[in-house]
Amino acid sequence: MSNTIEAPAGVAASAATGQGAALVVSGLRIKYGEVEAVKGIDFTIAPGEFLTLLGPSGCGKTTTLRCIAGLEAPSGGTITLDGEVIASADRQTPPEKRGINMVFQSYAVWPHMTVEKNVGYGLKGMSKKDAASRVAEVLELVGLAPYAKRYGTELSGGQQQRVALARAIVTRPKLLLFDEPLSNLDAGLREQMRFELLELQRTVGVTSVYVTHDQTEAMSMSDRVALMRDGVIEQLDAPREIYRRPATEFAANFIGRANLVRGTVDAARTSVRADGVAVVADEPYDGEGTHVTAVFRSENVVIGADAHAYENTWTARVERVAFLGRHIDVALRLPSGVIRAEVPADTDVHVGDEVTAGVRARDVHFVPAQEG
Amino acid sequence: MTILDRAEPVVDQPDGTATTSVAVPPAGRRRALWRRPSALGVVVFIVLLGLVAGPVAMVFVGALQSSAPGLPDNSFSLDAIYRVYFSGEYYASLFGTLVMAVSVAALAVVFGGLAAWFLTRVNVPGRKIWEFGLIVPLFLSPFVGALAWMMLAAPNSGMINVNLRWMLGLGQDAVFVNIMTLPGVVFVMLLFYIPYAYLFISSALKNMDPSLEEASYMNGRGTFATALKVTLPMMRPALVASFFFVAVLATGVFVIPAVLGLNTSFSPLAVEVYRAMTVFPARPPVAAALGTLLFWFTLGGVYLYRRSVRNANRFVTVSARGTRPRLVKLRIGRHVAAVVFAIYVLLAAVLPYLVLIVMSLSPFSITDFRRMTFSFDGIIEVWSRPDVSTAFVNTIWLGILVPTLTVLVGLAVAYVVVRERGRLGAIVDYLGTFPIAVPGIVFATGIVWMYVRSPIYATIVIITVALIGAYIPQAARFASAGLIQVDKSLEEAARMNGAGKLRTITTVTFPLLRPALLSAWTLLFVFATREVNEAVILSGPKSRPLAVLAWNYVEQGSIRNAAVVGLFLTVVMVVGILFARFVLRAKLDSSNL
Repeated sequence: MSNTIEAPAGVAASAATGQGAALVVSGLRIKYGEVEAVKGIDFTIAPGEFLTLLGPSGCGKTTTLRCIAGLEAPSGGTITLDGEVIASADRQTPPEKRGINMVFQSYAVWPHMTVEKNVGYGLKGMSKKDAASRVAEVLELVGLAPYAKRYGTELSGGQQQRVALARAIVTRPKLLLFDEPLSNLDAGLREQMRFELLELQRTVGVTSVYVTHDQTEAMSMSDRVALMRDGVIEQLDAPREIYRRPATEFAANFIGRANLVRGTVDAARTSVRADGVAVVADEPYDGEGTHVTAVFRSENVVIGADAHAYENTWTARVERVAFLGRHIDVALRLPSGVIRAEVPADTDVHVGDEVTAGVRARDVHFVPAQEG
Repeated sequence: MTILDRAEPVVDQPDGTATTSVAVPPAGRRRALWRRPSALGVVVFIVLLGLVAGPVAMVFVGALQSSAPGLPDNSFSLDAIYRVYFSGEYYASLFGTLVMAVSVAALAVVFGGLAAWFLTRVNVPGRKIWEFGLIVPLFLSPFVGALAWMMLAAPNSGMINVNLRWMLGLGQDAVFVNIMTLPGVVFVMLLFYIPYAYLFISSALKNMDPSLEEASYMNGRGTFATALKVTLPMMRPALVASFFFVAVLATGVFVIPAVLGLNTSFSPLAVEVYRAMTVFPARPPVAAALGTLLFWFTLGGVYLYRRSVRNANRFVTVSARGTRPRLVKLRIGRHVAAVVFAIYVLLAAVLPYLVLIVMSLSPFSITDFRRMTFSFDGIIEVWSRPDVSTAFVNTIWLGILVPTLTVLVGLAVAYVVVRERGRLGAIVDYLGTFPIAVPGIVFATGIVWMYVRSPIYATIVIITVALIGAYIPQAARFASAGLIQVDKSLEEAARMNGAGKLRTITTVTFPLLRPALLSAWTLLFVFATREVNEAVILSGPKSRPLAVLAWNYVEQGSIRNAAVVGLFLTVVMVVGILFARFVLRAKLDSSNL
């Protein structure tokens, strides 16, 4: 493993646009005693890009983030920020010297300081006047100007969140890290903050790494998503691509709800056969092996006469119907197993009906079947 | 108090989230991760080597020497070890010490436990007053207490005996109470050690999930069945822990048996250490060897104590806040309890100081009420002695420097243990809590052996150094209890905002820990000003603090002078505590100690 990884030339060239810097993570490993939490991951973030580390708890996403911040030490690999190696197994730049800032899950608003003091904390070595105007400017930006003299504990959760955000951007960091910043907010506020946060990131243009276990947050905010599991990256791509072309069964299941049909791929690699059901796709399977899983989304499953026009048409029995307002969630029994369909609310289906179900070949995607 | 690893509920920050969790004992939580030791960790380690490990090691070195430290003809010798361990000369003393320690501990747990149960579960009238009254003795000097009780209840000249004789018309030989006996010593120790057991057990009772008791009521059990079958078993770890804790304290205490036991044949090991060290012909190696003997017992006690504390953490269940245990309504019992609390406060805190004042004002140590005359002559006379003013200065020096420096060292120790962890953190944790197992007088003999040739010998500096070493565990416990409750991300946020470790500690950690550190400071101020156990061995004529001066007057038989100096000492302590409480705004209620 080489110790110095240069940022790719193309990435470095576009650095002029934002104030952010390029981040290169290469072969990163992090060990806690005997347990390896992160098992060698690589990714590159372009200046100004918003990348999300997404995954279930214990997948190593927060550990990775804290390692970039300098709060954990790597046991292997390197982290390069703006062309400079900031962390390797042998040498780590202390967190305060990295020019990175972070929004913490618990906000970490210092209770013994006012909002103003909290935000201005990182502006050491600046003249008082300049620092004050920077703080005022940022507080204006996050809409907290009227609260400047309040103490952190006198604010609501959403306001504390904004203080944390203001404190993180006021130092004009090269890289901004978010550690599940919205997980302590209630649902309504979370949605609102999601948009505010993204808008702010776009305004400031800072390179950002965001950690979450919430796929909606990841999908709606990120330029690219790195889906992690058990200390490795399963897939790194734009949200739309991960949704449409998941690389693994895990990726298909974790992001959105997917129907999985496991079987054997034919010689032409465009059809998967399983227990009397065949699923065809437009794009041939380009992976290894012949055990293949066909993936399609429940909103692409159609019931009724229209289904006959589709490449994949099956006869199925309705097992369960759940009315969800905007649509109906239907469980369909196929010879190979149960699939789910999301159909319009006015569809006339009842438990026990024999129906025709169909999916377009272009909505089907093949991934390697998981063992077991 | 000097209670380590008390189970404390930890409330997640920020305060919006109501999740409450239990502090996991440091040992169990520490992951086996290896990190390069930080500069802070290394510095703390070296400081602890000098303050703690060095003196303790020197006790063992001293036990293997032939004569006093610093003498040229000193050589390796097993004489002292033989004499202490095998000659049988000290077996009676050892046995007496153990009986004393075990009875004090058992009684302190019984009374402290009952007090805690009544004050947390029963509607005792004036609860707030008694909660306060029960911790007051922690801030008083056991030495002054023992002195006052000697004046009150000595067999011949004690105030109670002298006055009851003429009141009841009995002869000169009638003795009603005699404090200068083993039960007397146990009684006075109890007055000062019940609060430790009370604090320990009441904190466990307060942390207990009230629904566990409510479930017992719902299942048809009454008050006493619930207390016996649910509460008591849940409290077992806290009871066991406080038993060993008090036993260790009682084993090592010198001053109470020294004051009360001078006229009796029984003398505990701690007193024997003092005699071997100071009474002519001095035999410092024997003192050191006795120290090692004492040390094994306290070490065993501390081991058992820590083991039970580890269990205590497992037992503590913290529920959502806001639910208070149901108060038991005892119609007569609550009044009886209030009376008992009042008697305790009277015996431990009020009566001794009344006696002290009376004796300071009466010229010839006369205890007969009929012949008493009062004047300020004695106080003025003692006040104008040069050694008293020197002692004043020394006490104030100790009262300011010792708590301040110890709190700083304790904060650094706690920081390394709680935040940096790793292998060095574990070692620092061990070293930092070690002095608990070393009785002050034994620790002091180690300090003597270590510094006998240095210029600080017999100066106030050597006492300062010794006291800092001895009090590190208390300061570290306060600081680490505080640190555990400060969300780590508050410090990490400072690092991310460009602050180095030092700026982070001074601008974030320190201000957030201020309340905990102030409580620690106040308590250590009390410890440092009233301290006799170590200073009595370490101080020379110029470096004597007030407490040691008072002890010297007791030794010379000048009880009146001792009372006056004890009064001065009390004034210094009261002024200091009031200063801490009202100027520094330290919180001193039972939940902070």
